[in-house]
Amino acid sequence: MKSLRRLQIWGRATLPPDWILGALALLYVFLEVGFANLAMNAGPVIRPGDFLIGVAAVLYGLFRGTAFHPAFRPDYRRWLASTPWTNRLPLPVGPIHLVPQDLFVVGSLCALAWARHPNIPPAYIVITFLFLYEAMLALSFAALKMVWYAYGLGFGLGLLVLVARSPVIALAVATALYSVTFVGLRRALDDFENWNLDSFDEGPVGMRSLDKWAQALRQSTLGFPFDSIRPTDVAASIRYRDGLMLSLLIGWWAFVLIPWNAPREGLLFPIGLTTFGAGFSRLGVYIHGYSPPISFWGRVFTLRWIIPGYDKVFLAPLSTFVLAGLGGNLMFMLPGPPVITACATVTLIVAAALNLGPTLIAWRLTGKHRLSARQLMANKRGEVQEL
Amino acid sequence: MIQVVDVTQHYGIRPVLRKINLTVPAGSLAAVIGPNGMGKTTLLAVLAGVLTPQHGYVEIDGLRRKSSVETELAIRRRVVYLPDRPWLPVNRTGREFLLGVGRLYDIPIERLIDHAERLLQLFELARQGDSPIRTYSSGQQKKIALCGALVTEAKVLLLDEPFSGGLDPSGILALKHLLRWLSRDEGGTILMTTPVPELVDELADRFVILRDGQIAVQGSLVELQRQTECSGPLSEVVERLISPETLKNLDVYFEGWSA
Repeated sequence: MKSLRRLQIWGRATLPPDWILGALALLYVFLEVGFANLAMNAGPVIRPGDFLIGVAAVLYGLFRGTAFHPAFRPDYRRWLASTPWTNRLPLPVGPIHLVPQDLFVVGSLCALAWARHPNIPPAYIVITFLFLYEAMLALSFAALKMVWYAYGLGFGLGLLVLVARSPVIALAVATALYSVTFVGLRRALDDFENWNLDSFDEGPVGMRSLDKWAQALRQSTLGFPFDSIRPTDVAASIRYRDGLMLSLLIGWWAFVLIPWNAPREGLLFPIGLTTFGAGFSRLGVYIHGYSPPISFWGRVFTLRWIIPGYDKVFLAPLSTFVLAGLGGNLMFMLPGPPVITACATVTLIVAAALNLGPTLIAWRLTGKHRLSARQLMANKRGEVQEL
Repeated sequence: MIQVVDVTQHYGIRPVLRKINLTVPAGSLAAVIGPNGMGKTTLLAVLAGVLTPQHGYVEIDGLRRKSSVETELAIRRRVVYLPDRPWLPVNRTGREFLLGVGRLYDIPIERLIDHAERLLQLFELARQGDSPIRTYSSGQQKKIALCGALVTEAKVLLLDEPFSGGLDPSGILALKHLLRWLSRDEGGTILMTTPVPELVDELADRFVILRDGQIAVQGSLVELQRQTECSGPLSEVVERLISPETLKNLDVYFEGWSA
C-alpha cells in the first residue's frame, strides 16, 4: 500500500488530473466489458478499447506538450516571470521535457495494448504520443519566433507520418525529432525572460475559443478612421522567407497525405482546393474595404478599363489560377507519378498567394483604392456605430 | 503645408472635383466653404488618403501622399483626419477611446492621460468620460470624436464639418478657440469644411469656395472681397459666388411686392 502511494506521488509529476484518469479507466472497463458481452461469438474486429487506447495516447501527447509549458499558459507565464526562476531550476508545476514518468505512462499503455489489444501495435502508441507532443512543441517554437525549429519539426513530423508504416523507422524518426525538440526547448527556456507572446495569447491558438478571439479583436477597435488610417500597426505582413517555407511545408504535407498511387483526376481536387482557398483568401484580405477608385461604369465610360495602381491586387490571385491550370495540365502530360507534380503545384500556388506583391502593408499604404468605411466596419458590427 | 495639385476625382462618370489646385501654408487655418454636394467632403477625403484622385496629387509638408510606404507612414504620423460622420467604438468609454487613439500616435502615456483629461473637461465630458460612448448623446459623441482628433497632437488637421452633428454653443466656442490656438500659436495647419460661412469668418485666415467641384475663389477675406467686388462679410461674398441666381430672383420677388 505504501509503495503504491509512493508510485502515485512519483507519477503525479506528469499525470493529468485524477478525474480524467478515473474517467478514462472507467470508460475503458465499461467498453471492454460491454464489448465482451456483445461480441462473444463475433470474429476479430476493432474493439472499442483499441480506439480508447489510441485516444489516450493522443490526449497524453497533447497534455505533455501543453500542460506544463508557460507558452500555452499565460497566467503561469506571468507568475513565473515574477519569480526568480531560471532554466537551471526545475519548472514549478512540472517538466516539459520527457521524464521517466512518461516512460511509465506510455509503457503502461503499450503493455495494455500488447496484452489485450493485438490490433494496436505498441510501437504506434509511442509514435502517436511523440507525434502529438512534438507537434505541440513545434507550435510553441513558432509562437516564440524560433522558426527554424518550428519548420524543422513541421517537415520532420511529415516524414514521421510518411514512414509510419514501418514502426522501427518511424520510431527512429520520432526519436531524432525529440532530440531537436529537446534542444529547442532548452534554448527557449534559457531565453524565457525575453519571451513576447502577447499576440499569441490573443490569437486563435492561445484563446480558449474563437468567440473570445473575435471579441478580443473587436474590443481593440477604435472605429473609423482611426482603425484604417493609422500611423502604426497598419497590417501584419509575412516575410518572404516564411512565405516560402510555409508553401514548402504545405506542399510537403500534401505529398505526405496524398496516396502515392492516387489517380490523376483525383489530384485535381487538392489543387483546386488550394487554389480557391489561397487565391480567394488573399483577394478577400486585400480588397475587403479597399474598393476600386472609380465604379465599374466609370471605368467603362471614361475608358480607364485598367487602373494599374488598383488592378495589381488581382495579379497574385490570378497567378494562383494560372499555376493551377499549368500544374493540372502538366500532371497529365508528364511521365512518372503525378502526385509529385500535384504537390509541386500546391507549393507554387501557396507561394504565389503568400509572396507575390504587393505586400499587404504596401497595398494599404500606397494602393490607388477607395476606403469604404461601411465595409471596413462591417465585421465590427455591434462594437462601432456611425455618428 | 498642404498642397493639392491638379486634383480631379470622380466615382462614376461625373467628376466630383475638377482640377483643384490649392495651397494651405503651415500655421494657417483654411476653411472650405460651399453648399452641400459641391465636393467639400470628397476634397478632404482625397487629402486624408481615403480616396485616390484620378489625376493630380496631394503633398503634405513636401511628402507626396501614397508615393511610398515610408512617406505615407510619415504623413500619417503628422496628419489626423476626422470625417463628418466617424464610426465610434460605442462599447469603449470616452477616456479609453482617447487613450487608444493617442497611443496610435505614440504620445507618451503620462502626457496622453493628462491631455485626455483636459480635453474631456474642455468639452464638458468629464462626467461621461468613464461611461461607454453608446450612452452619449449625438452632440457628446461629436465632441468625443473631436477630442479623438485633438488628442493625437497631429500638426495637420483635416476636419470635415467639425461644427455640425449637434455640437452645442459651448462646444463650438471651445473648438473655435482651440483651433485658433493650434494654428496661430502652435504652428498647426488646419483645413476644415463647413457649409455655413458665419461659423468660420473670424476663425479662418484662408477661405476656399467650392462650386460644382471647382474652386470658385480662394484667399483671405480681403482677397475674396476684392475678387468678388463685394465689401460685405464672408457670408455675403459666398452668397454672391455660389447663389447669384437666387439673389437675382430674390430681388425680382421683392421688387414685385414694392410695385
